[in-house]
Amino acid sequence: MEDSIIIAKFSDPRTKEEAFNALLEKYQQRIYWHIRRMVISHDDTDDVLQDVFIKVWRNLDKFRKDSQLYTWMYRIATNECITFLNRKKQRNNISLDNENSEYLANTLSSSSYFDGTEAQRKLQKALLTLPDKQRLVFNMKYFEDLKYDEISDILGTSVGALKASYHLAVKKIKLFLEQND
Amino acid sequence: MREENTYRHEESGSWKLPAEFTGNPFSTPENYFDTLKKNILHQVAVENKVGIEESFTQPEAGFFEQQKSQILNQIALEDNHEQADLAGFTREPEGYFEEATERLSDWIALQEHAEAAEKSPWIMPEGYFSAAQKNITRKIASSSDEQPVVKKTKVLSLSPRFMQYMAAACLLFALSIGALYWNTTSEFNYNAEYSLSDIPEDELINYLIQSSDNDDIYYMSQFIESADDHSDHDHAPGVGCLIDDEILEDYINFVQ
Repeated sequence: MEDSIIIAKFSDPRTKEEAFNALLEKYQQRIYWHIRRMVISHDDTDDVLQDVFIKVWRNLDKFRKDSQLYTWMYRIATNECITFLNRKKQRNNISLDNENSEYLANTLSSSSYFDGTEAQRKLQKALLTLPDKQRLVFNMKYFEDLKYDEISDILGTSVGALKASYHLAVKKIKLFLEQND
Repeated sequence: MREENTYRHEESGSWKLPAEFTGNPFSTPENYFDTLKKNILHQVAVENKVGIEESFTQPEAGFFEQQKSQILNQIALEDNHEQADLAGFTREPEGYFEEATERLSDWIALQEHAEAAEKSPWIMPEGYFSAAQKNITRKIASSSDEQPVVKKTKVLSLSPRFMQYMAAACLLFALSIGALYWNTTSEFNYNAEYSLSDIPEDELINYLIQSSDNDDIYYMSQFIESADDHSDHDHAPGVGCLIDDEILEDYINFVQ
């Protein structure tokens, strides 16, 4: 179902649930993997994802159509991820991004829903050394293949800054992989 | 269940991960997305029916505190009744303790009044206060008829020498305050600079990238100078003078 049809049906109380059903079918996996790459744990992703879709349900009728529907949903999901990670830092008395990466690396090691190779595990550890926002940019550009304009719309950062951020992320990942060979 | 193929490298620029790093290492429980949809729809249905924002109203102020004390009092009362029964005592007549409290407070007030009356040993003549008032007003009237006494006030003249000393003291005070202020701000600036130097370069670069835009980058590039050029002493050494040329070039190429 097209996004415009979903939005139109959502505004009608008779077809609201049908529209939401269609929206879930269309976007739940994409949003899930976007969150999962950030928070690592499946259980945490499940919690964040449900919060995201509840927010979508509550606010879709206020969606102003000044961006694409999936950009709007990505923005909600990204904000929820950042909020979740900041809350984890506070609960564990972590003040720096580096210490949060250690916490997430431990989550990675103990996760029962991680069945990658050693190389893939090393890559994830490399990604966890990046600051959260830089990791977000890298994930969206490299794994989700979003354009810089779309990422700029989601994060509210300029395209120039995003390019520089992505470039630095690539350099750091390369260095980590070389040093930990 | 694994993610469908989103690892498309062809259009994402020149850099690609080596083959052993590709693929999605994360997995999900079986039928997760089917149950996810049901869970979310169920939550949404609950919200819809209950209308969470409007279902409950706030009780009036102090309700919970009052309720708590009522419950505790009731518990204490029931405990007392139990213990009285166990000890073989019969229960008190109905309403006994409520009436007793009132009778006790009346009796206490009466006792206090009687004590206060007994304490004071002094007595005074009858009509004393009204007579005293008349005497005082009569005395005031008679004193106003007398001649007022004029007191001479002393006049002190300030010598020119004294004024000079005062002016010098004020000037010295103002100069010392100014010197103290200047000393404090330069210390602050030094401390601010000193604290910044503690922060690692990578962190500073990350911060600048996340918080800057294209205009900032062009603005900052005005202050980038070559490390070998010391001929121009009017300008302070630029922000980029210690950064490798190759890294700088890559950075500028990517932001254009």
